[in-house]
Amino acid sequence: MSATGETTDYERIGGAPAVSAVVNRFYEAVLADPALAPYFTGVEMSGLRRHQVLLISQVLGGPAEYDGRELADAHAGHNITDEAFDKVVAHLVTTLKDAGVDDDIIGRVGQVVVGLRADIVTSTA
Amino acid sequence: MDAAELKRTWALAESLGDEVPLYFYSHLFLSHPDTRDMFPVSMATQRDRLVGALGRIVSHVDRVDEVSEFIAQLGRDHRRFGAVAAHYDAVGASLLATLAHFLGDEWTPQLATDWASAYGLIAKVMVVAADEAEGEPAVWDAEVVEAERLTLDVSKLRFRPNRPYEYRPGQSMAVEIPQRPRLWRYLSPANAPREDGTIDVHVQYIAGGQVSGALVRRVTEGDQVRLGAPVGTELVLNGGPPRDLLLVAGGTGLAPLRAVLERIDQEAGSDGAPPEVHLFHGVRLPWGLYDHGYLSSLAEARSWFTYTPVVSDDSTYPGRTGLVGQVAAAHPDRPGRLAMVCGSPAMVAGARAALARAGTPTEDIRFEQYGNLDEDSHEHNSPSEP
Repeated sequence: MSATGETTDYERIGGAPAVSAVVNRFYEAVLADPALAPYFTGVEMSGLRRHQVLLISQVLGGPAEYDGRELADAHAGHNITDEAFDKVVAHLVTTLKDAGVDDDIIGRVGQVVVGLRADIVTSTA
Repeated sequence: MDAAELKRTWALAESLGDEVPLYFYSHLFLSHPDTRDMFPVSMATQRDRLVGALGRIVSHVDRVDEVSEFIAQLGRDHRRFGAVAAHYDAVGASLLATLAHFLGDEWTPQLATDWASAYGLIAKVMVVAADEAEGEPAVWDAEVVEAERLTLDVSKLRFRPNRPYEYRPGQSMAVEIPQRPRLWRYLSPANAPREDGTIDVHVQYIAGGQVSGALVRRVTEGDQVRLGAPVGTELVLNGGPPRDLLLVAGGTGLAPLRAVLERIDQEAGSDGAPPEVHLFHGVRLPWGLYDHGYLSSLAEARSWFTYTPVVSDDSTYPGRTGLVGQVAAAHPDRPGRLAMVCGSPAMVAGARAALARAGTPTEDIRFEQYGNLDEDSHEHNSPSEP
């Protein structure tokens, strides 16, 4: 329960184990996509996964707090296109849908994701 | 644009079942969370609607001239959701993403371009129509001034809109009742427009329906309902010389055909001889003939009108028994007449097939497609009239 006594999205989807499982499946899908895999060449994935778990937990009202770099800084220099961003969104849709996450939670995750586009997409090519 | 390829790929996606709409809405809400509020809180029955509607329209893109008036009406109708151009973009993007996801290697750049053009064409017609209707209300508030239970499972509701509501006999309108917010259902006015502006609808209880139980049993005098803009082109009388009609109704599918009949009766005498009209009303059991009194007396009073009740599930019924579509198709009045069919999807399919087999050309068999846009819209039609 949150401080206000309401069940959080984080609790509804099954807490820490569920978030970890979703994040793992999400990166499996992203890394298996030939259009996206090159972005992750040389990236240390366990750290990335850990940050993503914290970020998603925070978005869903869980106890964790994201402690990584500013997202704009973290993605700077990777020449991320709108097309690549859209592909990542598509993988996130699949992952959340397959995990049986409810529409209203998907909508709230969406509010965060949509806001990130401007920080993350740096290339028009 | 390769229309055949659009249809083929849509059929392929459709064959994958529930996964497709599930993905579509997840994608829509993730990429455009502001659209979430336009949909019902419970998405259970919504899922198959929008995708189904889009697919059916987009796959008719090679005949867009024929359906453009209907698409324009849908555009005006969708103003009740507060749909604006940005939402059409959002829906289009999620539709393409969904197709790309499920079609895999089949999703070629050419196909992507074709689907984008097809969707763009439809969306443009809808948006332009909505813009042109800017001066008109998007939603009409109406008061329920009468609620009458006609049979075990059919009620008649009478609405009085707070502003003039212009429609043509044979059209339908989306209706929202206070007991079921955001769960709009298409219902057909059962009367031609009246001086006092009131509109009657016939509602049928369907087991398991989310809305029909409340419509039949709980809506009462004084309730405030909301109406969307009128839609429908197929059951509407066009100008030009009147043709003799074969009206084939299943259950509460009677409503729009009754409105057409009333219009003909109003105009009878004013300009020349009215067309010959033969109405077949099919129900499962005799007490389902909820408008028997009015229709029988009209048939007695008007030489141009014939009424044939048909009962399917009671072989002891003294009148015509069997499936209404087959009875109408076998009747000597059929040849040469324009047929209008309304009822449950199964009844409409059966009647269309029977009429076509009997020899009525397909262009003379009129029925509405909008029923398919809204999976529950046939809640106002006969539940199991096959």
